[in-house]
Amino acid sequence: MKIGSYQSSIEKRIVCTSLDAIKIAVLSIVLTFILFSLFFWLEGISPVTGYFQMFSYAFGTSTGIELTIRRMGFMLLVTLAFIFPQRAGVLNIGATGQLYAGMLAAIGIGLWGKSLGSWTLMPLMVAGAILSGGFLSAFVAYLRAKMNVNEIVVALMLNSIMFYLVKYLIEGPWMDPSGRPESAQLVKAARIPMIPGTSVPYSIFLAIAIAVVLYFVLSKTSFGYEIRLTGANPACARYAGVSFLKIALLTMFIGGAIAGIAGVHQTAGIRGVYRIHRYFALYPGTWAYYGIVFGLISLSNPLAAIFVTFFFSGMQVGTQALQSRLGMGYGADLAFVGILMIVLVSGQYFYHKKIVWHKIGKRGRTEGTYK
Amino acid sequence: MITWEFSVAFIQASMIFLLAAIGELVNQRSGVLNVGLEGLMLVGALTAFAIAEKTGSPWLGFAGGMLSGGLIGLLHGFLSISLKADQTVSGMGMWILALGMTTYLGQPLSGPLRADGRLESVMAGLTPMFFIGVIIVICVWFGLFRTKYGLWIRSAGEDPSVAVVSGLNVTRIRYICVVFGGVMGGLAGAYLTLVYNPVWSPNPTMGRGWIALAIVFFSMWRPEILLLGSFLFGFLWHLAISPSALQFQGINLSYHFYRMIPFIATIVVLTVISSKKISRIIGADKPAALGKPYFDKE
Repeated sequence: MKIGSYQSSIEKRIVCTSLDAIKIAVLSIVLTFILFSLFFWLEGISPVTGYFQMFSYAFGTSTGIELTIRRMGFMLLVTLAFIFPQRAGVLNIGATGQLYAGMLAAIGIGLWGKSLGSWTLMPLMVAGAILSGGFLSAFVAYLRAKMNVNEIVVALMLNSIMFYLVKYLIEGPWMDPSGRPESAQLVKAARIPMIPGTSVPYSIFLAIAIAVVLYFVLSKTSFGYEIRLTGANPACARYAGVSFLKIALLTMFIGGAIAGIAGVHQTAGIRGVYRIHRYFALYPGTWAYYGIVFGLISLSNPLAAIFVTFFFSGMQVGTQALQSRLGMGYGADLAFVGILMIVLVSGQYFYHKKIVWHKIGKRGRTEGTYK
Repeated sequence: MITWEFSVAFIQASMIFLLAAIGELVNQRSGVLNVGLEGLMLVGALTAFAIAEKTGSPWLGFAGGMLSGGLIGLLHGFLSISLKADQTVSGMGMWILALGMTTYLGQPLSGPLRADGRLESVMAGLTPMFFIGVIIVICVWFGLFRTKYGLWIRSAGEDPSVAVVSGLNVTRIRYICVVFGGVMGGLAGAYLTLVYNPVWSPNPTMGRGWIALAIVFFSMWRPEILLLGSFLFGFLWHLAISPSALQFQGINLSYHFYRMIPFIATIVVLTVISSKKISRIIGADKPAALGKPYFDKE
């Protein structure tokens, strides 16, 4: 391509530093925002107004920022559920099913232990969510590592199975007594308390703490080293005596457990009920897929994930506000994530290649190089 | 008892799996994994539905569905072949985008399709799509295993560097196969909303694309097993949505549990068939370069 007196060419990138990777990610995000303007155009809204409304609501109003932080707790947890196994080279596509499992455990234990005190009930709910989410995901890892079954297909099948289990329980045994299509309300002892003066549950701190702990586990412990080794070079790890089965099972169990905790955050922390959405029955299961894309943006770094999920939760809250303010249809926020994912993954092309601009001199000679 | 009506209905249902899976089989044979099959079907379903609703012509609807599927396939091809992106993540992105887009764009269309947009010609209870589907499978089988073009496709999926040395253009072969996969996915979606169940509601495919993907995996990449697999899952799917057609004495389960049947069966069948013993007996034909981008020497 030629612009003015500059000529571009695509050359091989020998080393991709983390700074390069961050640059590519930021450029991808900018490109996604440009592409997403199409939706505003479809609605007949100027993209500038649209984005302004979106961000001013999400970060500029007190309701908006509370919603953003609440959503961030959820998004951070599902992102960590993807990142942790991903460092070992195992894809956790099934965070949706694990999330449902965690939610069901939280609601089930919450409804069963009505008379228990908060201090007994809460740990029970979290433990239930950890076990159900963790075992669901360890099952996938076991089939993958031991029986060589395609983990993507199994995880997706489990997502559908868990969805019908949720539907059965919410429309059946655990239904709200008044007959609405939602679960019965959790008692006060089963609700995670809110930070005083806000509508943000304390579980947000749990999410951030998990991110910090995972960061230290990955970078400072021998277990973390084994995980990174398996992810970087599975053959090398095998020769070094690291068992792939053990690493796959453990990372997936922990990933699933974190997705389960996201379920507790969403039900016991925020809603207090489980409601099946009128237009979007799969909600909030589809939100769990956001974890994949946020994991990619944060370059699988748990600390970066905190900031990435904060920003994009605001984005998502903003899009949903637009749905009511400007009458945008459902599904636009999901489409945004889809575009982001495609752009990011194509941006990875530039991990191996770079665009170089050459200044063309008067005789067409290359004079300088700009990257 | 399995009645004729039940058999016809399940064969109709299995055509959705068959059409989507046969396209995916061809593009996997050429070495490209398209996990976004469900997304292809959604886009094809919405385009076909919208065109048929606006123009009243199911034929234009089918054409539009196949065209849009082909375009999405082309996009996936661009990402996975030219940009050498991670095919799983790209496919997932394609699906999420399709789910969001079709939910968003399809909202004004919610409801049944107008009468003249439907296609209701029937032979002994079967729509022509049954015959077309079977013919396509036979053509794909013949094309893959009895012609030189099939050999080209298989060698691109087996060992692209050898294929290149033998003078083949791997990039072009893969592009053609991915677009074919997209067109078939779009056709499956169009068939779903124009013939099988002419109603628009968000996410009409309900996980059928994922099952079609699984059918490709356990067909051992062979069209004849894929045909049987599609009938098996068409049967299970139809059983799942109308359990009363088969009378189970003394079993009284909620309909939700029947809906789980195809998904549970997928895990079970896939596990059994992935075991070393079974795949040795059948002779798994997994394309060796499946999911791996081809880097030419620079």
